[in-house]
Amino acid sequence: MVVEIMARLPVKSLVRFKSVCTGWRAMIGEPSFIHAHLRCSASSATHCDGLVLASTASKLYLLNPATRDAITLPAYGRSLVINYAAGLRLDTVTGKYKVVRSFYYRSMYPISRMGMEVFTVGEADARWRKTITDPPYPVRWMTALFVHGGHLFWCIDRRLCPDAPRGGLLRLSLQDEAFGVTILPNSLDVPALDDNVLVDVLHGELCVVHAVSDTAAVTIWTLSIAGGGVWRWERRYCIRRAVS
Amino acid sequence: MAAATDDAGDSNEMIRVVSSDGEHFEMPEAAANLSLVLRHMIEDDCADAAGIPLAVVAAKPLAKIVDYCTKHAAKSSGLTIEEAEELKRFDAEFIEVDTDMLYDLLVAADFMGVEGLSKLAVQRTADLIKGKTPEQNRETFGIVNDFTPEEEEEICKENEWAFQITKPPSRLC
Repeated sequence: MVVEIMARLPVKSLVRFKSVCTGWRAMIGEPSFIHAHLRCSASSATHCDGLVLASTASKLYLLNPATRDAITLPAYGRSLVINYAAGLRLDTVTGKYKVVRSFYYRSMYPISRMGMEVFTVGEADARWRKTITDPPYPVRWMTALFVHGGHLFWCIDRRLCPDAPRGGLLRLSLQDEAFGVTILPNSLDVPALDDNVLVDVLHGELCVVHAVSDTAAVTIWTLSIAGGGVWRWERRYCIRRAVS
Repeated sequence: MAAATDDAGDSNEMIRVVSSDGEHFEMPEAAANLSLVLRHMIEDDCADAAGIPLAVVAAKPLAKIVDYCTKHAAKSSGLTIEEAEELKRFDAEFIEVDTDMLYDLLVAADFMGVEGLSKLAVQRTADLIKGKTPEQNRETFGIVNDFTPEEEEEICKENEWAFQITKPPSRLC
């Protein structure tokens, strides 16, 4: 909870609070905290082409600030447990905006089986529709990351599913609504997506930022899709910090 | 296992809850559903006339939480812009509490899984501390300054801009 509170502080306060004690300084400097802080600045809403998808505890809203229009997306059915790993994107094939959100099946104990639903905006009689197949693994509570070409990525939740591949990202293609798994670059020796690894989107490309603590270096990998639908990691940047 | 019902939130049934110090409270089912813990209990048919016991939530914060959930459940669907603003004003007034109550609400909302209230209390806490000096935060949270004077000075020097909190900067550079 301390992290949640601190993640909502402005950068200026955080920089100042580095001098409170060594514990606070260590926490504020941790990559996982920096990530939480970044996520926090954007977590309540995501946007696409000027449309804003905003979530509250129980509802999802789609807003068009330009026209001041707002629609409330239909609620979850009662047999589902709310889990907002939601995202909004234009399906370039149909020209329609799609909202994707995850949920847990209520009737499954322990709660771990996840499903996903798609809502196509502007369709007559629009309603949430389950994806053709369920995702192979549950994802972590996190807004989906969108990548050029209509793919969504999430971090797989290994706490709920220890059998999931290490360092795996769940991938969904908006076009055919097929799920896949992308594994982090092999040379990243990470037991899971741990604190030293951040996943984000940079100019429409999925990127992985890896802070190598023992060499004080940061490497940035980007993921691109090559011919034949093959996903390939490229080590794009390696930044060495000056060691005094 | 809960039987699937036609629609969410239509039930007018009142849900009883009991605080750790034995006080009874009632709220509409739609309000109780805003708490993940209560919702699971209701769906599993654990809500009865005796009330759902909440072992770690005392009467004072529980009364506030019941208020919060009742207000938010009544205004949950198809909000107009005016209604949304009214709810925002309600939240702003609701969270104007002393630090003891704020702490109780943080813990209770987290325990009961009332996400909206958790966020509200977390944000309020952040708002309370963001303008403070490091020394004021040490006092509030009972933290001992374990930096050497040299280390502290170095941090302050490195980040001088962040320590100018009394007046806004006259220019951006």
